[in-house]
Amino acid sequence: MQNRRKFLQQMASATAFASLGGFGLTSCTKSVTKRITILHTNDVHSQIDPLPGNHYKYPGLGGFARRASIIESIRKENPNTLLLDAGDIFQGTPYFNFYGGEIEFKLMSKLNYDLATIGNHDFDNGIDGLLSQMPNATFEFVSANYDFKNTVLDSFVKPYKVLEKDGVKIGVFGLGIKLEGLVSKNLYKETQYHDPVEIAQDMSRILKEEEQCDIVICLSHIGYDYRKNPDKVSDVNLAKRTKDIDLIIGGHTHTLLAKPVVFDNAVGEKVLVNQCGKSGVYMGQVDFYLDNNGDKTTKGKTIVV
Amino acid sequence: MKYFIHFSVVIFLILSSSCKQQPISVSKVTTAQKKIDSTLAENKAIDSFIAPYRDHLNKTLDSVLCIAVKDHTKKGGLESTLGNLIADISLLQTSSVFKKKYSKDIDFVLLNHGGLRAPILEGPVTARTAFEVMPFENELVVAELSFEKVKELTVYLAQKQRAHPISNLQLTLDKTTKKAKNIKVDKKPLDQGRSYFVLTTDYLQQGGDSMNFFKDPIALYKTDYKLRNAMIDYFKSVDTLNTALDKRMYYAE
Repeated sequence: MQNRRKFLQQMASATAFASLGGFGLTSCTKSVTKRITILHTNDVHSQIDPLPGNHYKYPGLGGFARRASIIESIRKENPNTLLLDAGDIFQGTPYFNFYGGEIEFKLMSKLNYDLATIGNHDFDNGIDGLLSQMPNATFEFVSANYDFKNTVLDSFVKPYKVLEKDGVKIGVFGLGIKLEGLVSKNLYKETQYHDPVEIAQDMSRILKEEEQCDIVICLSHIGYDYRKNPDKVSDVNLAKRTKDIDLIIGGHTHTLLAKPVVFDNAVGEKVLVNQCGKSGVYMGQVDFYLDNNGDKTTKGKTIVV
Repeated sequence: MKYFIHFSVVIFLILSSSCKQQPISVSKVTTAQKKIDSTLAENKAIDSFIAPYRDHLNKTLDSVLCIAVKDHTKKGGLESTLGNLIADISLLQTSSVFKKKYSKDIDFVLLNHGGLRAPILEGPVTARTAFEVMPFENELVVAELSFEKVKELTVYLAQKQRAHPISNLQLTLDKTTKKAKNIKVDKKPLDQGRSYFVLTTDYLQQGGDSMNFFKDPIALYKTDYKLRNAMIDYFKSVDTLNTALDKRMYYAE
């Protein structure tokens, strides 16, 4: 890894030198290339340690200490890395029952998570239980379709957040699943749910046009798709019915995609949807390469999955 | 000074070439799914942060309470070994207390398939097992339902065709018409002239999994007994677990 880094650095400076030399003659050829790495998890469900070796589906996978190592090495290779979580941080192991989410938030803070969205199980100790763990989180929460204004979480959760890495603006907004029928009302209290598609259309417009983001990411806990109920709002439907979103990071349905899936959005552009099972058994990595070599809408961006 | 000259040359070149810098945009995207397995080194600092929490948990959770003589899983059609076991445990652990407190009998049990979060595998069963199967803090409650609401409950089961755990309730489902037949509570056909005491969890009683027939019962009785604690108490009281499928809910021939 070290050798490769050195090689890349040498390559980069050689290119810079060459383009500087030819600058005056060829005028507009000075090219800038940037790389933004997005790492993501979903539905970690309090899986602090690896799953047991006799687990029926993912024996021996997951664990925060291993995830910390791989994140560290990816960040070393590319400091312009964001780490995101698509919700359901809580519930699933006795760590949650015993410590109420404290260790989950503290570990995510130690791993330098940037943002998370709120899943239905994050309400399992009530909205007050979630609030009480907020001091343990150095990362922030985004949710655009949950309105918390009449709850204790008001001001703790933003609809979206714009993060900047290497001069690249990355807009991230969150989406949550309908709580009625899934979570007891006495837990989510006065949290209002709004239609994810309509909200996503607003968000992508705000992030692309007003905030001038170079990359727009939706951090979603609405589920990948519902085979028995294909019209139910899902990441797949969201991808097809919106525009200006580059990546939808999903959760809720515990879907383990062999690789991210590419869909055509409402205006025929490519949008990537990913989800990584549950319990932290996999972590998604999406690398965005940006340059100033002109308009991509004519030739389209290349997506390698 | 040297830097200043360098800088002004660059500025001059930019101005003189009348070249507008193109904005950056995404040209390429690559992806990778990173498997988190034992080939990755554990971060020592993270592991030692977890250690005291883990030690405290393990001490409490890992003493053996009984032995499962086979796997109890959610596999199967309209019933599962795990579902049958947990529904039976709920009834057994609650009925005598309920009778003592309210002088009434619980008629049957309905839980939800999705609420059981892990199987009970062959081998030692511990409090940890109960936490894995039932991580939620759900409490057992008894809802007194009218005959009509019980009919609604069976319509729900027939529509969903899912192995929702039941106990002391029997029914057959028609796969195509999605109708329930031969409905029996405590081996007797439903009686139009009476209400039924149905044991479930507070989560389902409040409309979880869209079990709306539970929402406005004739009366609601709290037990202050968590489903998980009912499991742990049962595990302590027996030597082995060995629950079979018994066609409590199945497809009509």
